[in-house]
Amino acid sequence: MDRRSFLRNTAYTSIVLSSGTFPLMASPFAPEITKLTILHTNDVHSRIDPFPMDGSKNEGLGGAAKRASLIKKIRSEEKNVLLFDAGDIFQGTPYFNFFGGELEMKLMSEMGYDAATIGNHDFDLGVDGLEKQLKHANFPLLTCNYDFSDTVLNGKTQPYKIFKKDGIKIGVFGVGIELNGLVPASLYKGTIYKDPLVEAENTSKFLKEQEMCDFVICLSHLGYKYNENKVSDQVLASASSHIDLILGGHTHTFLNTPDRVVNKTNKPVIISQVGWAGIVLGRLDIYFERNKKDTCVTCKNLMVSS
Amino acid sequence: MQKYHYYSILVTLFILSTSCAKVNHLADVKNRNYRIEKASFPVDTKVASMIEPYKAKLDETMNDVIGYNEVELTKGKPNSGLTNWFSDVLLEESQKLVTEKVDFAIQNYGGIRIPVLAQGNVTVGKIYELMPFDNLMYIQELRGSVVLQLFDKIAESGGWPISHSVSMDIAYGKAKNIFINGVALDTAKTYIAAIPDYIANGGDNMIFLKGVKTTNTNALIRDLLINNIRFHTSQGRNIKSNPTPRIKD
Repeated sequence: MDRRSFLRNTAYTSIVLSSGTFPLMASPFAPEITKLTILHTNDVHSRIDPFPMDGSKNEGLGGAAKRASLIKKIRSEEKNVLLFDAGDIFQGTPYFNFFGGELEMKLMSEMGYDAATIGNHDFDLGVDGLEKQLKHANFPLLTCNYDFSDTVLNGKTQPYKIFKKDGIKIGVFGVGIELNGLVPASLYKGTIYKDPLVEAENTSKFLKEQEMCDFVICLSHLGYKYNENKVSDQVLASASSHIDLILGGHTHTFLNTPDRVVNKTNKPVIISQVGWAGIVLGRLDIYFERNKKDTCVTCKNLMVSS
Repeated sequence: MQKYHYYSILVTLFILSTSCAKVNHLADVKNRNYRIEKASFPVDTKVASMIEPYKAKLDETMNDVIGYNEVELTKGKPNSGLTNWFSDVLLEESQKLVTEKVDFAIQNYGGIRIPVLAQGNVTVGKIYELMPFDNLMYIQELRGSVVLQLFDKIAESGGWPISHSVSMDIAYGKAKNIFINGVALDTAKTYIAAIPDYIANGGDNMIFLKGVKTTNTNALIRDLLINNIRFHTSQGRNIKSNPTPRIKD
């Protein structure tokens, strides 16, 4: 099946989009549609200014001030917007070397990020360095598989957060990559890395079945995929049973269109990742139809045939 | 009887209402990514004003002149003005971090990111260009046999930045006539080497360095360079490269 088919615009959703009002058509049988707009970044790596105009490949790309105006514009056009980051906020420009991530956190707060997860480079000034910057962030850091009990970050992160938008309940949680071998032990000392597959399954099951979330999003810094046998977003998606969307990072993968992977219960999981350095802002518009349990008029076939 | 009828209506209503309970179906997903190009989106003035004071402070530091370079230093193999100066600074500064005598320092050739250090004032920003990576200096204890392996690899790639304490020849892609501090290499002896973490962790095919006894000095290579220039400037000395050849091919 065509990888993009689930994103294909049909006549029906064109009407939904152009009408802009929900429920569409005053018919008593018309389903009630709610649109949720998800914006995301990953691996911004302290890229506050656009890349310098030095003849290099990325010259002039990115920049927090432009990203901010784009986000503002989308917020003015859409009712239900959520903004996330999938980690590696820190490291990569002298802004981090000099100010330790303070400006990165302040700008993300100003832009209205709703949550972020923790990347390996976010430990580059140690757990203490990360803890020091939390006071500049008005959004939570989500991680369900780093146990910080024995560190200064104890109680300062949370496994998940639930958002409610227009009657839609969205559960969002975070997973992080194995730190051993990637981050000097002196920097992450005391942090216990737990199996992301197990923790993600438990957290997402809780969000779907106990908290009755309509949609579950995983902010992941595991990496999109690997040739070697290593846990990645693709591995996580196929091993999961309650995740709807993975917003990924770490491998700096520019996915022009999101990938989708069939999960343990034969349902699709969407995976997106938008490169690095804030060159791209990702956007996913999720449409929900409020209807009887066994009825959905506008549902597209999100299934993947294997 | 009527009471019973009343209850049955209630029960029916209840069944109807639960069977009609609505849920939110995931109906469709659409994707659109925005590439932030030079002329794509306006600058948000609030965010720009938040960046401004940090940028000003950064520029001030980056533009800080820390020393003066006497002659243009270029990067080359097997020796060059820039690579000789770089590796000698690493040896000098590493020696300040540990008590045991450091026998030599190396730097991977690809880690030096500018081809030329121009004559004239040198700023902090220039050293960031020269060494943008946050590589740390490690101190490794190497058996002479491992040193030979390391130097063979260096010879194979045409020569790397290596401190003046080493002299060797490249013959048919192998290291020959190796002297460390004027004494021929002893494969049974243990040597103390200052090696950036990237290499010490097995990078650039130096896998055999992984697992040897290693100490992390927690000092950034870049900071060693900056500190060294500042120190010599404070002593009235300019940046000067030691022309002593280390590698002959």
